[in-house]
Amino acid sequence: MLALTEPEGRADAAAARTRVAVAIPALNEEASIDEVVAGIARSIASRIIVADGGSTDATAARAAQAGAEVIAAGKGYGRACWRATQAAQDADIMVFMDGDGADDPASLAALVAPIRAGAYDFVIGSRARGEREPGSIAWHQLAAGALAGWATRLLYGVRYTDMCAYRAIRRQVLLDLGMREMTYGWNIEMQMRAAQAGLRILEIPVPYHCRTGGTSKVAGSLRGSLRAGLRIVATFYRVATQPSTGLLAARSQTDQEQDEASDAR
Amino acid sequence: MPDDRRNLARAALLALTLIELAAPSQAQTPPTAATAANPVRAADLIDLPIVDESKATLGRVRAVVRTDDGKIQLLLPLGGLFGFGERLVPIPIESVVVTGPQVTVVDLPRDRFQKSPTWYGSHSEPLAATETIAISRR
Repeated sequence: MLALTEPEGRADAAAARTRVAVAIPALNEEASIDEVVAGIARSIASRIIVADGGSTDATAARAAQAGAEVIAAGKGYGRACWRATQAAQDADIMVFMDGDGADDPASLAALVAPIRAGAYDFVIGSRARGEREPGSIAWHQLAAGALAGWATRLLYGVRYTDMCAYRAIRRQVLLDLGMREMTYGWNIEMQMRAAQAGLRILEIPVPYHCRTGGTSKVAGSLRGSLRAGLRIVATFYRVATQPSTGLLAARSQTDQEQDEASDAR
Repeated sequence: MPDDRRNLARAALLALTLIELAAPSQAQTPPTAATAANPVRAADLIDLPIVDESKATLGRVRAVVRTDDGKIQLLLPLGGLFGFGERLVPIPIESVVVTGPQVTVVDLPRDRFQKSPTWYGSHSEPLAATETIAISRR
């Protein structure tokens, strides 16, 4: 009899061999970074990379002391995520989480498991569906996530409820998505490119806490909110209207053209 | 004939001397800009700054593509704001060297980029991120 799935033991062994790198983009997070790094289960993450965006405080030193690899990533949230992905050459799965202590390290296993099992390529946390500590998230952040999710559903048929930074994705897939947004639009670009490329996407509720120190660069001030908001809107429009230079986008476009050609025949 | 033999020997000695003189002069040739080709993953080039020989930044590597005839090119975005209105210009891989954390264009004058044709994606495909290409290092 032909076996259509891997024997359970072998599949488990393969999943166990999957290497996970946790990337933490950080800018002046000295008050929280060591606790964040220490909270990540080493049984799940083989590497913890803090991508420092030019902190002027002790973020880099504290992260290193807590056991993370620290890389100088240059300016921009997206650039920090990208540099960490480039650095994690031996990883199969990339997990992104914030360095402010708001994301719950206990959710790491839930984010990674569906990808390890081979069922999904991209698993994103949803703060909107998860338990939120009072004061942890501003109403306009939730509204922006819902709006972006609604628009993504309209465009690609994929419904997100949040633009949560806490997410896991196959590293190979991420590298081939053709990501180009190197600032605040990184998260929405990844979500849209994943939908465009037809990845297997799962959204799971994640708890969200108040940051344990410092101030938010996005929601912490009107200027920060406006700057990030403008960048996210611009990214959304650009991704929706311009083709990607990524391999996955090129292949999905070729597949689409072939489908249309065969439909026409 | 003894004279002929002597002339032949002199000619052979002269030729050997010339060869001897030529050999060290080759070895002393100053190294060229591109010294050795090294393997680099395509993904490692993405977002690296592209500079000209006077170290002025032209942009950052957007993608690495292979044309239908097998040539490797880096795509450089020019112009635009927030990613709108920009155009992508292909740079042949032979015209660049990796110099530390950046890519230096060595064979093309800066003004050439403004006149270069725009890349639209036809007749080429992005390289897989893990694909390795040979690129010169300085």
